[in-house]
Amino acid sequence: MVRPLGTAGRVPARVRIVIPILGALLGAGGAGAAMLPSPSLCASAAEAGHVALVVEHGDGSIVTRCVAFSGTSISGEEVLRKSGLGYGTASFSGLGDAVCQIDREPPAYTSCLPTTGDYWVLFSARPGGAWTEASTGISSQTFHSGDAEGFRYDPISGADPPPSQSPAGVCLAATSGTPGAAASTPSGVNPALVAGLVVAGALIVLAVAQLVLRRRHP
Amino acid sequence: MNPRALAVWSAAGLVIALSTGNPAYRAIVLLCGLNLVAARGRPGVSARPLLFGAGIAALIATLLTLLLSHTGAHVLFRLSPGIPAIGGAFTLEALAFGLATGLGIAAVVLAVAPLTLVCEPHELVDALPRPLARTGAAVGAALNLIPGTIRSAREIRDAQRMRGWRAGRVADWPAVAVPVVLTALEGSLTLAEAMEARGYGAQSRTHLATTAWRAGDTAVAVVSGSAAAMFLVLRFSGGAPDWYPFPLLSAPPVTIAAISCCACLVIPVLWPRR
Repeated sequence: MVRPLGTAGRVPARVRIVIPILGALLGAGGAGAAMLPSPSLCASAAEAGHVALVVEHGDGSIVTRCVAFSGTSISGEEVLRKSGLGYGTASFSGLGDAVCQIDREPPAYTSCLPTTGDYWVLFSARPGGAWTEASTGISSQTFHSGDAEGFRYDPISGADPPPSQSPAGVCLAATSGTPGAAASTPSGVNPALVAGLVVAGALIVLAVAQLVLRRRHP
Repeated sequence: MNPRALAVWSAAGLVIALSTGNPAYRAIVLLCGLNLVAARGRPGVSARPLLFGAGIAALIATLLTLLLSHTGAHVLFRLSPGIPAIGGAFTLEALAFGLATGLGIAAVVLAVAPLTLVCEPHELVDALPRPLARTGAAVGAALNLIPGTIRSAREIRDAQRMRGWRAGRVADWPAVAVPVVLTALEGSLTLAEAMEARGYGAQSRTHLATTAWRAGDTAVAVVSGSAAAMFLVLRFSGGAPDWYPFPLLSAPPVTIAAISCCACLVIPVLWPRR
């Protein structure tokens, strides 16, 4: 087949328009994500440590956070405070503070450790290890980088099973050094969320461009 | 685009949309589906009815969740608890969960829609594996009878009305139903005879190879299949966190790796047309 001169390797008009738009939007998104505050990456020099937090509510819903901290260790209560989740504690001398309420569960309480009903059970896990039920309160717990703190809202009677979600992966990118993990710190914007919005925006622009092209060149 | 590559793409979209409740990932799958339909839809085939149906289904899911789920911290308004089923607090969390459910339905529809909006029906039948070829042809022929049956039902109803028939009691309906069934049976027999006259069932089927497998199809199948597999790995290792708005609404957690997997579904749009 004889191909007309000047058409060899010619890129279709649709691709010529679509690729620069997508590239520009993704590039802008990447640049935007790179300019975001570094603490949310869990990877800044100032806050080099990170602890995974897993909270399992009574209805089975699970909230996870990757909490960044500076220094060599952080207390269990500080992890909860930095996670941004609301919580309430009560002090038990000798054992430290017990957690009475997390994330508005229970909505109200008169006794932190009731004789019947549910209460928050505290667990900890070392890097790569399984959940272990804590024998002291959160203020007496110390966590190092890579550790995990877990809570499960569980009936006070009977056994206390650990959270159903493993801490592995909560700080995936933070531990591997890849930016944009499921990290979520109280301050700053999650760059992965920004990237997601940019991708969604790019896809919307792309769809509109396709429709416009289709109308012009049916 | 080869229907088999498109089937792999659809399966990948379904896997991602159904394996997570996170609206962020579902939205990207939906947008990729929209892009594919916009870029590669068959000329003369409108996607509007399907999009309209998906929108209605998503709206119903959102409303039902809002009406029936009374969990959540942020109360928008309350109805008297005495009203059965829907009485109680209407919460922002329930609304968000309903929207996410509706988004999931729309994403699933848009993941499958390209199979009918991009490919010709005969291409889909041709793409079936050999053991399913006869079943596929029979199911395809049966599905093709549905519009014809609806059309004949309308015609028979109009004809009966002209003879004075009125839709009233159930006992009046056989006057329309019996001719419709007989017409459908007659149509089926005619179709069966036509298929037999064309050699259906005599020997293995031959067809024109109008949709050859090309490099672009390989790229679509490999990239979308890998993206779905990677998403599943991320999903079960905690790298693609799920989202649950109860008891307190929060932004959906996302990771760049999971978003990249979802965004890979745009590959059929970027690949140049053959």
